[in-house]
Amino acid sequence: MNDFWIITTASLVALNTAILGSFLIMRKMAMIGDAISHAVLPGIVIAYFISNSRASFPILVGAAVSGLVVTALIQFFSKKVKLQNDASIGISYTFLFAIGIILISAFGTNVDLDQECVLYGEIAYVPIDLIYWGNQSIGPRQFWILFSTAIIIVTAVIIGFRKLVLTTFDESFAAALGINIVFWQYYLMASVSLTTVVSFESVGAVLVIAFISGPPATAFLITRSFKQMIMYAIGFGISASILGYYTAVWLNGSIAGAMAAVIGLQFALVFSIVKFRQRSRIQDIPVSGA
Amino acid sequence: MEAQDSSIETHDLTVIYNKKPAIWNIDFLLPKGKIIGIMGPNGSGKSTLLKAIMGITEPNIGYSKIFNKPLDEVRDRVSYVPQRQSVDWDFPASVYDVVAMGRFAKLGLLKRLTEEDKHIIKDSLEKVKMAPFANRQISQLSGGQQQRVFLARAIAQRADLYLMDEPFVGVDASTEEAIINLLKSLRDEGKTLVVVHHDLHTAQHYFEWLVMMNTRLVASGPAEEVFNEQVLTDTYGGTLTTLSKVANLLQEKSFPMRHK
Amino acid sequence: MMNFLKEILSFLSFSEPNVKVVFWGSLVLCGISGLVGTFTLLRKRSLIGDVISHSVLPGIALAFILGKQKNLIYLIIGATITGWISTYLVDYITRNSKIKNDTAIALILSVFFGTGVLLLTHIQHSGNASQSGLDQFIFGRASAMNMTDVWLFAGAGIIIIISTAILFRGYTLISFDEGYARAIGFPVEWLKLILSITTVITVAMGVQAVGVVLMSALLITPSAAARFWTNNIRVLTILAVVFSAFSGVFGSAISYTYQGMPTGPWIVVVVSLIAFISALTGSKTGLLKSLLLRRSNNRKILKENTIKIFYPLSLQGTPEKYYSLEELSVASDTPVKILSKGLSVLKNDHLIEGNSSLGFRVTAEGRRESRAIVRKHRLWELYISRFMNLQPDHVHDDAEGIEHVITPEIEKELEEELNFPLLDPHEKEIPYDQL
Repeated sequence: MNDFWIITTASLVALNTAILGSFLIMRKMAMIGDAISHAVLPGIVIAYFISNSRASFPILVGAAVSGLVVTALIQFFSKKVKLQNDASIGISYTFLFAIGIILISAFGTNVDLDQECVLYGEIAYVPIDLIYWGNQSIGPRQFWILFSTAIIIVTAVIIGFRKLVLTTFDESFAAALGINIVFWQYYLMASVSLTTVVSFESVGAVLVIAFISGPPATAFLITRSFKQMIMYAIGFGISASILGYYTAVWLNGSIAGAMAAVIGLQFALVFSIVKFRQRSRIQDIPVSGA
Repeated sequence: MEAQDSSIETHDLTVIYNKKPAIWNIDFLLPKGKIIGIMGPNGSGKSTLLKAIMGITEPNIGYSKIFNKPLDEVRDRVSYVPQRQSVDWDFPASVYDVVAMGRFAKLGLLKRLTEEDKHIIKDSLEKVKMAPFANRQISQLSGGQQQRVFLARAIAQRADLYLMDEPFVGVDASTEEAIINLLKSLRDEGKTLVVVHHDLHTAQHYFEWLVMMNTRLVASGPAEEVFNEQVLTDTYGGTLTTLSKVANLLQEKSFPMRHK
Repeated sequence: MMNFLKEILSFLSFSEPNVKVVFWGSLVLCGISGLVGTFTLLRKRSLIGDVISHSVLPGIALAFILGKQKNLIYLIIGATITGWISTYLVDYITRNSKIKNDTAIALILSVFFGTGVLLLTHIQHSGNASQSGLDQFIFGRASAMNMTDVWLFAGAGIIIIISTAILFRGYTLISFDEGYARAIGFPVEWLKLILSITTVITVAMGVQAVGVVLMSALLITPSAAARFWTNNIRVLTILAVVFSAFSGVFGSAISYTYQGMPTGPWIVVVVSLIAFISALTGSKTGLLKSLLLRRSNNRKILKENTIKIFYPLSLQGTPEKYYSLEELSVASDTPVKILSKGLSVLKNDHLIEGNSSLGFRVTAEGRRESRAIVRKHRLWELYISRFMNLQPDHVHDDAEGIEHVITPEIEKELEEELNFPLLDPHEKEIPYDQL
């Protein structure tokens, strides 16, 4: 049963991140996902400390606030003082992440958050933390949180799909149609922040990025339409969750780490196949005019 | 020409990038039902002008009107064709998907494509001779084909005014000819076409009306009147040194161009 | 506060032997990172630093598995190898597929890190006794360094500094214009290789102090902070090293002073604060500077707009006449509040005389000023109506703004270009000082 809950939880993370990651990588914003996933830390720690519980709502608020702070910082550096974009991202999120770690150390004795959990989560403990309906356990808390998030994300993306695709593919055409570019940008970023925060506890900051960038990138190599890309990305994400779990069991190591490793292997495999086929196709074409 | 007969009216349109004017005090009326060329050297603000008219770039000073109305009231009558290089052609989409985007404004968020929409899409593809490629992935198209797809998307909007940013850049001769024929047939249907262009040799043959600019407006009028040596020298023969010195000063001293 | 200062002093006096190790270790590591980071920033590869620092983790774990013990040299070699592979892969993927650079960075960074975590947890769970302290690489612990480590860092540091000094010109050129460097026959590929190996080695050592996640900050932030002060690449490099070394020492002093405080995050917080302060006050792009500039601009605009009011008045009335605040307000259609502010500026500059009960009139110099600003306004109106294809009724607003920025040299150019015109587009006289 534990296997089932861990794999299901990871699959839900994979589902949410595959959908949003597909948009992010087509918008060349994969590193914004990286920045947000690290930067939510101080907000989470403070909320954790103030509410003294793992209650989801305060943590969500805390994370949202620090998500906003990092966006504002990046904007400040890149727009106000004209620092190059990549450096702006780098400065902003490392700063907030450092503050988060300091806060953990400061509150360390009162709060059971630890540094390692922040980076690679503790998905192994998911099945222990159950919620109850009366006396009956109805499954792990993390599962229900991620399940509700998945419903929100899927609904949000279906509603906004057309506008999101249009603003992703051709921003100026979208603007000329009168579509509010900034609104849809924030719509997407809000979804990314939500997903990052709720996935944080199970897979940690860095591995959310593996899920956001990996499966969509692998799918991108072999798809013809954007809908297909999302579907493939979900497929790759979920299969990486399953394979990753058993790899971790086999090696007796971190589950989330193993999932990231499998995501990397999937990409390497698809990449090589695509390269190999391209090469053989080039050789197949007869030299014209010979 | 009176404002009510114009397709586009700009009034002192000024856009400032990095504290420096990219276009400065552009003020003109353009006629309806003509093929209009916007010409000027590189970096003279031609694309910025189109973007400011379409509301993609917010003008710092001045305004523009389309068919004598604010843009928002007539948006469904205007179509904009961005520069081909402005999008990532690796995006996983087919030719059909891109042309279908031309119908999105009328469909809103969730409504599906109707039979009529599908017919319009097909018809637009035929007009640019891309119907056989409808299911082709856009990453596999040549530059000329990409441009045709963009034009088909614009045609699918069924607009009255088309603003096109450099549609002739990087296309083969046959595409160039196909595009100009298409523009002419659209003009014959009574549509207005505004085209950013930079090839002086073809300008006179393609356009009935010319706007010559170099940050500032140099001339705007019927092609045969405007296309003379004096205007060409003013447009291409180097910038006005005093003007650019003032522009540099504005930037250096972060001076506001307008204040109250 | 006093207590804190005392603690800092006690830290700097090396009263405990271990402190000396931490001090020199942080100083050397952060200093080198600042040096190497300058070129990472200038080559717009800031996030590559991020990739490297995450990707040294599997190398460290593998070196431990193969070497069966915690030997710093093995660990650094392992870290350097995987760190270098990661940058190579990012470049390879970007060059050979439609995957964009940022996606490749995110992918490689997280996959390498995840693999590192997997290996590290595998080692921990296999119960190897000497593995303790391996996880310090994730978050860094300056206090775990010993004197041998510091000597190793210092040795590597000297090599890096010397090689950077020798190759400085080459590095500068490939950061600025790689194509040109290639064209004039610089060995660009070699330079890039040496620079990237240097970066990887720096990162591999630096994770000791700040850990993998925050190491990228040590590469990016010091040089970014320095960027707000200078355009000169030598000054930039030196400033970056100074900022970084200072943060290293200060950060480790804080973690020494307060029990249980981590070193790495404090170093990063200190260097980030330096970056914020630099962004706000730096001489190059500082907000403070532009704030001051805006204030002086606004004062100039107010002053010139107010003195302009006196021009038509001096034409019609007797110049000796005093005008009351109300009269001036009506004549110029300016609210009294703004007007009195403007008048006090003028009085300060001795352009007008009088007071609120007596009224105001211009001095001789004030009259000259008012003629000057009107002259600039009308010259500009004429200039743009002639060269910008504008109708006379469209030129006023633009001239209202530009009149304030026209310098005497530009004024002279306008006069010459327009051939000393007498009338503006509205047929009004252009007032010259002397003709």
